[in-house]
Amino acid sequence: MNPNGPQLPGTASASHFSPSYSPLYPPAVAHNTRLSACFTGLVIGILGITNWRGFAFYALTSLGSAYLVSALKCGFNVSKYIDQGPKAAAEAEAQAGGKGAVAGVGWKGWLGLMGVGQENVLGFLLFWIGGYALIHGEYLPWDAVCGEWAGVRG
Amino acid sequence: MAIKAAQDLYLDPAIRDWVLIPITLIMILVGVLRHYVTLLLNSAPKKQPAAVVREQRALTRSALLRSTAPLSPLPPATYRAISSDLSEGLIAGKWLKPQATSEEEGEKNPFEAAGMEGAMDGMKKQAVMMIPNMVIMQYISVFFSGFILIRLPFPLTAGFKSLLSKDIIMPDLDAQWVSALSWYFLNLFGLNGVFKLILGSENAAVDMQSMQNMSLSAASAMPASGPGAPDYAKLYRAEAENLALAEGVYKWVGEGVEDRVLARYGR
Repeated sequence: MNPNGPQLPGTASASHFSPSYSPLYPPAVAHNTRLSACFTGLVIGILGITNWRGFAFYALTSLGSAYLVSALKCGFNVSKYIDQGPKAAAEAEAQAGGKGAVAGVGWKGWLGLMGVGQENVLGFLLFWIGGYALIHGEYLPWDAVCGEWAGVRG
Repeated sequence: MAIKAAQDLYLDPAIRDWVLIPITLIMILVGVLRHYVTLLLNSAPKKQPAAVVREQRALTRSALLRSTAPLSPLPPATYRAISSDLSEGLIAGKWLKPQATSEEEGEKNPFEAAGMEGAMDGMKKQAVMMIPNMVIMQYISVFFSGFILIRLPFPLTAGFKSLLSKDIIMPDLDAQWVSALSWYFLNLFGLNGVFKLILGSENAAVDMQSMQNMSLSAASAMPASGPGAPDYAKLYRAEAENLALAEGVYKWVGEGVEDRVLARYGR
């Protein structure tokens, strides 16, 4: 699964108690990021976007879908919903003596929601290349390419 | 809308109809087939007498308790009660199955057979995973080699040519024009996501590499009930020691919960 995203905790008993427990159901997040990656690839391929623009488009759409999830589900406080890692947790504990909830190291949460993991990138690549080849591969029959030679072909 | 590249080639539409789409279709269907074959091959665990099961389950119970100790939902009194009961039972051998009188041949053969079956199962699963991939790869390299299939939408360095288009003998060809084998590899890795979408995340159609990790962990879990007739008395004693160790790392999840709740609400 996506290494930065919310993880299902290791042991069953820790599922609701562990500090890294995420109210966002991790398989659902993985499913959504996978879908968005594949659809992005397909759309980009059909539109015929090439080179770096394709990758930029992917980054944009995954950022967009992460934004949507965070807006609708997390109330924009991403760090509250996704494990930020041990260092941030220690920071949070140190700060907890003074103030309340930490809107801490947010970028890790964003990366997790974006779902940029090996499997999603490969799926995106597959659909991009496939869509591009299907719609924009220059497939022309022999006769159309070499019209005046059409009769010559033995 | 395609960008005019330095090299612009026209391809036969038959390539698209008869190579591009079929390869993907075949790989998807073979993947789904693999998933269901694995499901069918999963034989139900062998029925064993209650005494044997109880012996194994005692160890499992203790291991479960230990593994949840660092963040245990059990309050201290409950945890300690269960832990001490288990330790005493393990040391006293309360749950050991009654030893058969004819120990030697009684123990050797059934365990040998059980071990072989476990190993055969693992091997069958691995074969189901690897063989279709190898067959398809051979099929593609025999039938679909020597021609250009697609153009990648992004540029690549010339180094990729040996990987992606090695059967095309054209030294000046752009690395963007690749052959069928590269489409196969792309599908191999990219379809993992598609399989997880259509078959659910616990499916048996995913890639070899993840499968190898799983088979390694399965192989290491096998000896617990496999050949060698594990000496449960010894295992029990070791487990009792581990329980004592776990006592040291035990931490109730409700410890300090009052402070955490207050901190969360900013008091």
